[in-house]
Amino acid sequence: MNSRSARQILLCRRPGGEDDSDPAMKRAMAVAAREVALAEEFEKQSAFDRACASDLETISLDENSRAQIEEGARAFAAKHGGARARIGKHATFAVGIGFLLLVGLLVWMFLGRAGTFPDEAVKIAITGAKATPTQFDPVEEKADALQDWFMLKGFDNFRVPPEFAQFDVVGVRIFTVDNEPVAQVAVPDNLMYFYCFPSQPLGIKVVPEGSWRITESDRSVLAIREESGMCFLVAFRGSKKDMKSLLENAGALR
Amino acid sequence: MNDLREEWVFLETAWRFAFLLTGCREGTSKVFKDSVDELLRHPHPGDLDRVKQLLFAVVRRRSLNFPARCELQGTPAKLHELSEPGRSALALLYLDALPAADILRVLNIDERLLPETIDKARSALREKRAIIS
Repeated sequence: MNSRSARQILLCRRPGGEDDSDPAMKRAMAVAAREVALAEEFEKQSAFDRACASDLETISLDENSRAQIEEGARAFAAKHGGARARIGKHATFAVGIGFLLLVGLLVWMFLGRAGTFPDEAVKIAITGAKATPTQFDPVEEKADALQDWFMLKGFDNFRVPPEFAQFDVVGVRIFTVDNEPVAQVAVPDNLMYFYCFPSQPLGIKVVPEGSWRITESDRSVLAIREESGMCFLVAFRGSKKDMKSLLENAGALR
Repeated sequence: MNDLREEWVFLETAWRFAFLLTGCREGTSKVFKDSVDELLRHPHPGDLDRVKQLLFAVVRRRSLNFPARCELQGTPAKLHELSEPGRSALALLYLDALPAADILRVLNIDERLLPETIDKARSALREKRAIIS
């Protein structure tokens, strides 16, 4: 590790020393110990940071804020303990996922006739359709409110077209295809799956950007579009006509 | 908050984080309540680290949308005056809220930019503190 790399790491060190057991931080501190200029800068930074952190501790909590925090802790504790049990109780969720799995099976059976539809997108739909209900985390959100959830799962660029933002979602999960992460969303309306995934690593190109490509297989239909390096895929039981109707009603076809 | 269990101390930290960003107790109270409510609607089975990250991300998003007015004093007030995202980065660092790797995600910035962001914010805060001292 050179001096510059060590400095970059040391700049992000927490003043209480909580990061000091981290191997990279240890190496950076060792480099600083050998280099006078870096050592002086680090010492100055540490003293300043400790003083500032100490000042921030003086922010007082009044009665109301204490009560609010304790109430939050109780709510989190209740949810934390009951989250797994609730999955089993969520009858709507289970039934919805069951229907979606049927749709997924149909999609899987007839994807061989997908024509010019991107092969990798077909592969994603096949893999997604094999998911069991227990592989989904239950949610009750609009589709556009899931960005944080996916971000914290390690999927940083989840997005849905604005026209699909207000669909209710009952289940979410992330799986991988060719080592690339794919976000999957279960939507009870029209019994659909939404998928979001990066286009380039999977070799998918849908041109012109923002346009839809649709394929139909028996009673199932898929539609895909690409924007800013991310693909959005919709799958449900129906025909091309149904898909066009959905896209028109959502305002996605212009 | 001596009676707050250790695993939930991050809620107190999140409250202070909201106070530093909004600058006022009214804003902090609203942001904190709305953030907790929002987070309770998210799935987070058995993963407190994920809950923590998400809470700080939501608190920050809501705080930045709140019209700020500053009731803070001293260093907290000076930190409140800094520009984003350096202000949030430095606040999370000084509150010992999260390690750098998690701060990146909360701020949604590139890994290479965090040291520079913190460095600039730290320098700006040093100048402001020098003025008040």
